[in-house]
Amino acid sequence: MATQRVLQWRAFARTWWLYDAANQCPFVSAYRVVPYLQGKHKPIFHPLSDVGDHVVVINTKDIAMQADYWRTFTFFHHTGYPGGFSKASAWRVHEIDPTRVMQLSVYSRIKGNLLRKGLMRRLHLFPDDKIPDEILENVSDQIRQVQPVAKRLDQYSEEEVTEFPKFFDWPEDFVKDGYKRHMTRKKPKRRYTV
Amino acid sequence: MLRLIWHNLRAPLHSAKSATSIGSPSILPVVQNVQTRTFSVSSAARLKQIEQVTDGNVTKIEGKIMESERAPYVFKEEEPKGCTLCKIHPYLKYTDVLILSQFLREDGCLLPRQVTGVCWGQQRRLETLVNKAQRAGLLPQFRPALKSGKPRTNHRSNYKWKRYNVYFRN
Repeated sequence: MATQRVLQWRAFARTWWLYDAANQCPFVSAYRVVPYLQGKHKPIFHPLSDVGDHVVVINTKDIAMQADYWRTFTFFHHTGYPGGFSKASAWRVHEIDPTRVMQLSVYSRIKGNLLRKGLMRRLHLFPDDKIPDEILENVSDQIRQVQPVAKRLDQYSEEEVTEFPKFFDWPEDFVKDGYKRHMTRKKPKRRYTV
Repeated sequence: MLRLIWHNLRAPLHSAKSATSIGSPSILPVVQNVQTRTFSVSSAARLKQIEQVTDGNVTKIEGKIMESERAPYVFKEEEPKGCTLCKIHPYLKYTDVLILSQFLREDGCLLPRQVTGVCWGQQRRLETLVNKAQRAGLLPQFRPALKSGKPRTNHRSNYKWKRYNVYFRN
């Protein structure tokens, strides 16, 4: 029964997934990535059987944070020794290592047991879309992105912008560049009187 | 001039109605009206662009009449009353840049309600949405000029935490 043996190999083989993190929130995308690392998307999943997959995350330097989080969100660390506490805001961490924020968000999403370090070994993070061929040849499928990417106004064509339905027309006796004259007006010199 | 003359002709009729003067209407109110009225010859409707030309000692300031580009693409309403945003699209998102850019000047400042004709609540909402879109870098054309006078290179500021991608929930 050679076929049964091959089916067994195929069922427990580690597949490789690709995830594009450009313009994606790292905390939300951790919810999407972690089940693939644990193997929870498979029907044969069991906590005692090691069936997790590899996930290759690309474009981690282009991740997006919500509102003011780049400035306000802080990552903490303690070495265990007295005076070993340190913290850094998210933009500072991202500046030093563009894969670090994604790594920490996935790490904090996984439950703190003995499996965590083994799962993190199967997460491959890359700041750009440049992946070594050894890894890229293993990739079989990609994971769906978490949120839609917003389109900038300069990415639309001129026809789309001009022919888009307008909500109002310019009113009667409206001077179009009236504000420019207001802005170019010179400031009066301050006179110091004693 | 025709306009001014027409106003002058109409003035005694008004004065006659209000004062109910007996006999022939006097010339005095006509003269008073001329003094108070603003002088204008050209027609006061339509979009204008002011141009300033200098030839030696003479400076000429001219208000040129333009045809609006967006006239054929404006919504045609049966009842042109009330706020257009409330009727058509009351719940905008910050990613709807094709709509938000209609309510902006070239420097990214929001136009007043007297021009756009939206209600107070929608104007308030537009302020926050435009702010969000600017923070996310979705309106690179509509930004104020730099103080140094140099042209902008990036669609977002290069300052510390401002150079990375940002998104908003709504």
